[in-house]
Amino acid sequence: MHFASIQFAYFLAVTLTVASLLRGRPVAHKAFLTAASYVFYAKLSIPPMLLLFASSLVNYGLGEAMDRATKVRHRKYLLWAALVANLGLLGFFKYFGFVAQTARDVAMVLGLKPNETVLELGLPLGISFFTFQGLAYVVDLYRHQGKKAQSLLDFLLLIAFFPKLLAGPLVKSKRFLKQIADGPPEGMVDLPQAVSLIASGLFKKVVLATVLATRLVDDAFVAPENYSGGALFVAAIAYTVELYCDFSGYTDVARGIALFFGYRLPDNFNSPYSATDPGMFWNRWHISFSKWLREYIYFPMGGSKGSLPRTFLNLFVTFTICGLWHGATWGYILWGALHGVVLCIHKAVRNARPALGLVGREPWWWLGLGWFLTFTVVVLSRVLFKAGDLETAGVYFVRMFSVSAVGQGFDGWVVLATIIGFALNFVGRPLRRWFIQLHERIPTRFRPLFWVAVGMAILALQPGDIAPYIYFQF
Amino acid sequence: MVPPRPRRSSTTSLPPKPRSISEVKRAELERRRNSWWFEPDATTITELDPDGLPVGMAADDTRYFRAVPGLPMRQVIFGLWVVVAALSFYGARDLQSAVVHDEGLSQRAWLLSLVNGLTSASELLGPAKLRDLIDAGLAPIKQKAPALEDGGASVVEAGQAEPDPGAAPLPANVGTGTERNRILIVGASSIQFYMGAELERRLEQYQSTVTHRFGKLGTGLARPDTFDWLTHLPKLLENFKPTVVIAQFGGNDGQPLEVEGGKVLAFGTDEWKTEYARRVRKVIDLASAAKAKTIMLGMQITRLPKHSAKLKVVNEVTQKTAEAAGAIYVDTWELAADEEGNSRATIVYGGKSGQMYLGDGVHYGRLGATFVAEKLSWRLERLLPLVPKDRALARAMVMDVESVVLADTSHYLAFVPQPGDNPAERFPVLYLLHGADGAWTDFSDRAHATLQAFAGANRIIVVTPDGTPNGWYLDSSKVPGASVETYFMKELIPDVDARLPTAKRRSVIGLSMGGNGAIVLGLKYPGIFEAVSSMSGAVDLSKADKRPALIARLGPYAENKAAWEEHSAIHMVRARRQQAMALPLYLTVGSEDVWAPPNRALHAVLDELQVPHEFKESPGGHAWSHWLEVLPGHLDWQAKRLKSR
Repeated sequence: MHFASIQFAYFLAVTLTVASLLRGRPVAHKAFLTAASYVFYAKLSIPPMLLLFASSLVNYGLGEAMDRATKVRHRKYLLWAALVANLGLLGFFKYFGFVAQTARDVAMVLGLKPNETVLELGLPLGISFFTFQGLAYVVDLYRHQGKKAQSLLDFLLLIAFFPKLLAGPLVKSKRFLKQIADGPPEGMVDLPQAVSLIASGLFKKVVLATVLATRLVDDAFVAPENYSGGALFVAAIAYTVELYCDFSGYTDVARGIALFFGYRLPDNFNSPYSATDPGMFWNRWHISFSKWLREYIYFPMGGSKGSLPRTFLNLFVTFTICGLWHGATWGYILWGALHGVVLCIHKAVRNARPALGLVGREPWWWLGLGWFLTFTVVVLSRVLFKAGDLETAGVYFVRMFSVSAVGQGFDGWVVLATIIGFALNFVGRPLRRWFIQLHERIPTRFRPLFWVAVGMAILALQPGDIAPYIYFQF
Repeated sequence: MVPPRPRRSSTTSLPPKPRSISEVKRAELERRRNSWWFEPDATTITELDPDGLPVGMAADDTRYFRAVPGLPMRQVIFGLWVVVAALSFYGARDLQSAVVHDEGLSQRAWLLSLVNGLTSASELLGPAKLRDLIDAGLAPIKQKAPALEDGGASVVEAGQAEPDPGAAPLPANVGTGTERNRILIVGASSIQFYMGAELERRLEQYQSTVTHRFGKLGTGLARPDTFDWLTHLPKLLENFKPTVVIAQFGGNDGQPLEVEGGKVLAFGTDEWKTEYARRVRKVIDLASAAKAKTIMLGMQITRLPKHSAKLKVVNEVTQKTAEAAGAIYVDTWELAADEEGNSRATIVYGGKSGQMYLGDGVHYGRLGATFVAEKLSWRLERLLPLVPKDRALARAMVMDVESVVLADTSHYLAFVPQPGDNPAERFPVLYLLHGADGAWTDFSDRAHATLQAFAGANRIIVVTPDGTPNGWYLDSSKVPGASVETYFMKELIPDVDARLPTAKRRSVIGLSMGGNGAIVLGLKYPGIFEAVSSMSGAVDLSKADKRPALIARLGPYAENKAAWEEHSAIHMVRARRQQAMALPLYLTVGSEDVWAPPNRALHAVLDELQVPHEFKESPGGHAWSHWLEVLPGHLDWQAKRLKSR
């Protein structure tokens, strides 16, 4: 269900009403929330819901076994079982087509007849997220770092909690399980934060991201031959901003809704485009996923504790996997690999700083240069990310840097939306704080009218088209 | 070190104060923490997250939750329902639209009456009017209007006050207004994305042709509330002034239609068809009023059977309406299908293999779209005066012949090489005869580009005539209008020689039924054809003695053996051995072809009669996949003989 649709609003109102009535009864409350989350997921279609349930069961079972197992050998087997089950499921749905296509390409090159089989199962939405969430749970138990879920119901809710189910922040299982076990508070805590998060999220997603997507970006990346170099340049920046608005908008709405239900989800973004170096960028972009990569791939591989070449390898592999996770095209993989390489360079430069005589605080020009380079790398690598296949990306780059005057234009609203979206990186939080203060000043009984006004404003600004959530497809 | 300012808030308490720490160490810690690879250790400072909410243990610690007073939930729930109710009231029309157009929900009468009632109440009491007011005020920025609002100024580079007369000519998407073909392409996502882009790119390869494309994802003729084509199309027509409008609607039109007065017509009913036909007619009329021809493209098969079934209904209505209005309807259903007529999963094209459709099974992937666009451009060459810019390619011309013996107008397609340096140049003619159940467009549908390149490179006119679907290239008095042989020899060939710059020399290739016809006619009319080749020819009619068309024309086989043998190549070569000796002959057949044994028998007979000929058998069946493989061989063989003098 699209977060900005009227059906979802009804779903939310009904679910929240019943859930708050059940707050005194923990088991019923959890059961209801889990059921509601499954209904939410099943609205798309039934088979993925069964898949979600099966995957949760398997992970819960493995977690239980891991908790009881004492022999190292047994624990290792269980760990492997978890890896195979989760990654196998993900790999099958996501990468079958890619592998089959690559096999076909190789067959064509060798002159053999390509295999015609094509898997036409739809990719269940959010599969990457819930498999990773389950895997993290089992791995945490393996490392004696996590806490076993108190009951199957708790674990089902951990995985299926609908605000974070489709593209949500990946939570630390121990912390979220504690929230689930302790239950939500009796009253509504942090109401202004919740309202401001939902309002800001809807604005970013429904207004900004949609304007950018439907008026320039989608078209430019599908058929770059139709656009002039300047337009493609603007489209690349617009896409960077659109991705931020889309995804941080979704996260904000998810966090706001979770607050209404009495749960806290961690933030995923921390003004990423103000990062002055790539390391900082990844600390601020898709934070929960970035932390997941660090915890479960980078550190197990050795992190930065070994020699420098080994660190480079770890960085490169981790970020290539990051790219691969996003999708099964060369565009994503190259995007990830490129970020890995850039991080290696950054690490090398950082290590060389004492040798260059730079100690203490960085000078302003260093930070400025760092910001410019980081942003450039981010924008250019996003072209690979969006274009998907190498052919389109190639055409895009060639046209972007050639001085051709021929092509369709774009309207000024795209530029305005890009500027606003980009500015939100820097002033987003102060704006939210201002909104919260505004909200606080309104007397409690008039607050619903304020919310109606905000809703009307967003409806009014909503462009006529719908662009789907980008991250739902992962 | 400044401690954070306490916030004035009724719902949160003061956060714990961070410990103080020296400046340099703090900078180093900042720097380390900002690294993505930061591993927390004992010196981590507790702090607030940028939202002002405590991080670390405090935020997730439910003791924090319990410590602060919260608003009573009933207030929040009440507020939420007020918001939902108010927004439903305000956006009642959107709600109504959503219910009406959902197939499941619109069946529930109570729901329909509920939303209708809500909408009427909203209109009466004002919120709907308020919504309309706001929407109207913001309308200019909300709908992406078609480009070319002011004719040509929009394509001037930003920063230039007015176009410099000495600068490069105006970009191709405006043109000068005097081109022979000004093509406006409109439609939904298929036009907006890959297929439309590829089609536009191909159309730019023709002389004196300018194209403007505007497609919009998710639109059609069914939902003017989402995007009203009938309002936007006149603007496009006025600004671009096309000579031809190519429109492809229908992909999103498999849904109920709403008419004046709020009545909803369910999909597929007669009233639905009437209303949809009215809208299609409006499109055609708008184009005619702007003096443009309309070509309505049908929708192609998709991977979803239910969706495809709906598209068939839409196509049917579109076709009837277009033909009644004098517009052209191009059936594109099987462009994306395989040999058996099913939608194909993968496609091999241009040396690459890939999936035909995207994951949704409806929209083409890049490779699939390129494939379909190419085939579509071939069909368009038969409908519009499109002459390739590349002078090495021949031009496709559709010619009409008023046939007396067939009592009908017959068409043929001629690939005529573009004029070279010599204006008196004359070209030999190569005829391609199609097979049973076929048409004069068969070769163009499958191998248009091959024939176009061949004709242009070898300076030969290639003609694909109409042999009627089951005419068997023979004359029969038993069936009215079944005088294909006379038509071909006495009407078509003279027509070609009269109207096209021919060198009065010709040869013929035949396919299946046409293969037999080519050999028989070549032997029956010595001196007319200089060479004959047959692809999987049906060279022994006795093997087809159950076919109704042959039985009707020649009488039952048992009683009319002589007549059947008179039109079978395998017997004719024996009866006219002298003529066979003088006629160059090339036969091919596929090993798995059902006609392979008769062809092998013919080969044996020719050997026995010592008639010089060439025979080649290669893997393949009685299918276009095989014929497309052997066609280049036939063309080369014919070219050698036609160019030798």
